[in-house]
Amino acid sequence: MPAPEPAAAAPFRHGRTLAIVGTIAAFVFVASNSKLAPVARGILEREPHPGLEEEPFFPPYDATTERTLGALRDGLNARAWREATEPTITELDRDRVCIASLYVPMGRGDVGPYTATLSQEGIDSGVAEAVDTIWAQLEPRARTPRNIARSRLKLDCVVGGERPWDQDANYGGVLLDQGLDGIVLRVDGEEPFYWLPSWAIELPVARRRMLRSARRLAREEGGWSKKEAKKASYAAIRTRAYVESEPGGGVIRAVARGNVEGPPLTSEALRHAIAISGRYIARETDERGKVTYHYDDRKDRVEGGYNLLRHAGTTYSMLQAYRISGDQAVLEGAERAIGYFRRKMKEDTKHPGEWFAVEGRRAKLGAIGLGLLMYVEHAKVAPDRAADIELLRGMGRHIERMMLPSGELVSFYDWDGKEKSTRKSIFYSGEAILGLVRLHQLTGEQQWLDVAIKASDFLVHERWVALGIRLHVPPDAWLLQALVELDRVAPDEARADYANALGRSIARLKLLDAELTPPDLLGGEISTLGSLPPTATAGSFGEALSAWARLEARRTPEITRAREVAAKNALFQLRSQLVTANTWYLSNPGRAHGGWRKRMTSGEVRNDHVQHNLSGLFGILALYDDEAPDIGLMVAEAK
Amino acid sequence: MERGVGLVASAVAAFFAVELVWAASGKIGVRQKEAEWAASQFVSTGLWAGIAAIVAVVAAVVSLRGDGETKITHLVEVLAALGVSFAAAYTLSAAVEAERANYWDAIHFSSLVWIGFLTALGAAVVSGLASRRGDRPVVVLGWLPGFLVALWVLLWLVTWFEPLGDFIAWIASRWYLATHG
Repeated sequence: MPAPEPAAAAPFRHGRTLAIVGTIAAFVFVASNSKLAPVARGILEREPHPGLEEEPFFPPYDATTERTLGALRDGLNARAWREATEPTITELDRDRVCIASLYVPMGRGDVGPYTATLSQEGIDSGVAEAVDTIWAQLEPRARTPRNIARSRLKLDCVVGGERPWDQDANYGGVLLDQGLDGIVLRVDGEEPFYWLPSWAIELPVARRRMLRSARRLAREEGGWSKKEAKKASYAAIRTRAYVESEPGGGVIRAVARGNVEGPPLTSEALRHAIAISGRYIARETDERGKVTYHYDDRKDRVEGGYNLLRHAGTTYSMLQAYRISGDQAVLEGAERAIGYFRRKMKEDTKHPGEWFAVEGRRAKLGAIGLGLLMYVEHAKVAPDRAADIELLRGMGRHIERMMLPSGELVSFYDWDGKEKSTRKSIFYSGEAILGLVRLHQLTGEQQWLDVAIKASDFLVHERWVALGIRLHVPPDAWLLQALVELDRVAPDEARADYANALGRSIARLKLLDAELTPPDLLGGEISTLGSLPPTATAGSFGEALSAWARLEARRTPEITRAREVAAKNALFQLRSQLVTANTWYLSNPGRAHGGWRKRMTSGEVRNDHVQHNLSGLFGILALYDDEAPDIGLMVAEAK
Repeated sequence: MERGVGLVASAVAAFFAVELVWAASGKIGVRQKEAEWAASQFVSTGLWAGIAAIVAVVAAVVSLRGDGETKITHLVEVLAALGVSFAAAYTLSAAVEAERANYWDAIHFSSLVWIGFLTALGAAVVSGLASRRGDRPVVVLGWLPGFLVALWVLLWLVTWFEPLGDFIAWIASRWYLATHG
């Protein structure tokens, strides 16, 4: 007979059970007190919008809407030109609530919209009333024929049912979709107030603040009292929306999530996108050669800040655009920008014949890397006006000086004895290596290739590797481009494998499943709960992914994985570009035309966002166009 | 004597685990751009972690010698080793959050991975042996060290086993699509 358990061990008799129960309780406690729980609860509560199970993401062409918008346009034109013509249409869907919106771009953020709900009582009178309502809201200065000719009309018709939600359970706005969901507010004694879906993109409004915005606009635009707005009941709505594709009219385009459907991935579409983005940068290059760093397209205002690296990269992309469009204004803009960069360069007094660029007090390695890209591109497109090749060699020698015996490149040059930073940029090395490869393409000199190989081998074999562990393959877009071009003249299996690993690490950040991803987000980057995919990184990753696709096409043409990823990314870039069709809500759409902003809900059009997107599309063009210029062109003399 | 060594070693390990977390919490800013934490300051932080790991191993070795130990001492040793392992995990996650782009920290990140893994392994071995001897106090935590070892191995796999990276990316994209229509 076994001896009885000693009394001291009694508390541990059910220890395992206690441990399991305790752990589960701890997990439940932590989960319920973290952000995860409400989001998870919100996901469970998310449901399809009622009555729209068969609704396509972008609604098909709708003749009735076109006639309605045409009638509204006729009515506005008649008012603007003081003609007697009254709007006439023959049919209107009486079962739906439709809201007309007029956008008049007046600059400095002043664009409207001026809205009117179309009356369901009489077809002709409904449109006429809407024109009256909109006209009455316009400031006198907006009522001129010129401004009406620049305006855009949009028509939203409510479709499907209404979807109530619990705002208290709407953690991070998870129960509403920015740009897809609108809100209807109802209160006794007032007409319903419709907060339209596209406003979340146009204004823009974060998804968690959409209801708050609706209540505020019900007060400010709908004339409701604060009390009414606060106690109003609310529900989510969806609309079928169409917008005039051109200022003053044009064919209608379906709108979803504040955007129109993008173009297909063709050589023509790519060439057009590259050309207009090149023109955007050239327009934004002033007489001194400085490129607008940050233009806010919602406020129509230039914000502060500058960055010499990005200046050089932007100039490089302008020259790429010139290779496509042959637009003289773009070349002239680029040459002004080269002049600006040249004025920032210094010859190293300690090492005569070596050149670096200074911004403020800092001499960044990346500035010389991108500066080389810029100068070499200029030498390729305008050899007769190119900089002295000795200057470029001096930049190459500076990069070589910045290399440690291990092959590691130092990020900041201590030219004045005041540089304290020990920071090592993730990107400068790749930029410098690509610059050296391009210098080799121009001169054919082996020296630059040798330095580029040594520096890239450090990144491939040693960066992020320690104590037997490779911790991380960073999404280093510049290095991937450099490795792909190096592979053409100095093929190496380890470098090619690492380039593929870089490509795969970037692909993992992307939404690539066409079955599950909304069509407008396909190819975009996985973002945070409150954010739509960024368009800025679609550009930098576009440069990398198109390089990866070129590597794949050269080395393993039987595989198309990289090409598919790059194509989805490029399509996302194309549909994110600011073009006439999708900038109806900007107060100065002509200025933003051709650019890219940080993301759909941001007003920030920064020069490097445009550069990366332009260069990314330039990179993929070679896969869709046999006549496309070679991004890594080896100059004839160098060969 | 052995009992005393185990308890003291455990206390020292636990102290350094707390020190590691304290140092990491105070010095790793999530938005920092310069090498505020990683370079000079990590020297002290990393030193604490290393000392904590060594002390935890001493505790484990003492424990394995076994006969002079009480059951509670085994539990304390395992808890101390787990504390160091969790501290390493916390520090690593804070560092990755703050300095993912700064590859000169690779040596520090790797050392944290090794410290975390080895202390979890030590805790698992001690608790396994103690459990086999029927030490009920340790049985309470018997599964936790093994779970932690598995987590460290999983982390290591993520760094090189691409299908696992693809799986994590798949989860991330599903999560994003579940919250965006």
